[in-house]
Amino acid sequence: MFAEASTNASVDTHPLESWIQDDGTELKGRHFIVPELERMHRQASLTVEAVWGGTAGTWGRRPLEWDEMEVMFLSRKVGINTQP
Amino acid sequence: METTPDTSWKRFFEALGPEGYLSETFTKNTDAEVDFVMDVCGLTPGMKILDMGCGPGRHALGLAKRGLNVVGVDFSDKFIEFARAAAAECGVADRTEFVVADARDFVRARTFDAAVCLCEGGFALLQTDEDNVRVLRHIAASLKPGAPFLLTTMNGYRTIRLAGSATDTILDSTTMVESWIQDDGTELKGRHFIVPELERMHRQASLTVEAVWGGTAGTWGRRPLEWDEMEVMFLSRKVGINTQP
Repeated sequence: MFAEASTNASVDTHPLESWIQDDGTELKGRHFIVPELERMHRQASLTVEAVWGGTAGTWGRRPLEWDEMEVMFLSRKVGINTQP
Repeated sequence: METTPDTSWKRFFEALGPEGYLSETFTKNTDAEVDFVMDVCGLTPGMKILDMGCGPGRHALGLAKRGLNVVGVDFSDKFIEFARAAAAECGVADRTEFVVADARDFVRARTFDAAVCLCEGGFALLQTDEDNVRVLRHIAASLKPGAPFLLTTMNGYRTIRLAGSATDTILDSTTMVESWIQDDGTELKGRHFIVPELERMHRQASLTVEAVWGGTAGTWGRRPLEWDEMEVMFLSRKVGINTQP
């Protein structure tokens, strides 16, 4: 672990957000930015065709807003479907 | 094969000129920054260090004054000429070599005991990840095994947190490339990275990250990165053990 950025959420090499539950359980989630997600799709042989805002309740073919909750990726598996 | 340079940044810096660059506030702590580099990289007189994107040579000259042999690389003839003249004036011309080259092309295999790439010199003003990783790979290839590398670059966390509030720049949310339109219509672009991306890029270049600190000019130190500060600092080390005598 490297030096942490100073906020509630600890930051090491990956910006993990932590939530402590009432029973003491710690939940963690990794937050990604668009270029990271695009790279991960590419690594998985998925070609990204669109990036949209993806917040529940507002889905649509519309640009991602900086401060919205979720992002949406539409991608396609690399290659041509030759099956009948 | 040599890279076709993006001349917009070169034109920007050459219009600013070495004197204009050195009048910027962020250059006012150079001596303390050079001491910091000496300390965290464990440098001693006689060692050989690479300053990638050296600009007018402010860190390179400081390192040479402390007894190091320095190779400074920059894409601006104007800045390199200034650095050479300054080295002669300071009496360190025999310990310095200033080279005009694109950071994507410069490499000297296993030559250096340490390297620095500071204040976006040669990094992040390139817009593609491939180009930026290429710079890191060439730096790594130029280092002896086990040698340290210190990088400062724009802190992408700050960029994201400010996104939408800036009036003079445009940040593309899908590429994290920020654009500035100059008075003469020239468009300057820079890629902003967050820590995990930079850690991955170091790893891709066979550089093991040892520390991530706040790297904003004027406040360098072994201290945590703040979310909203301008720059981040990475201390890494070339993979491998130096078996040379």
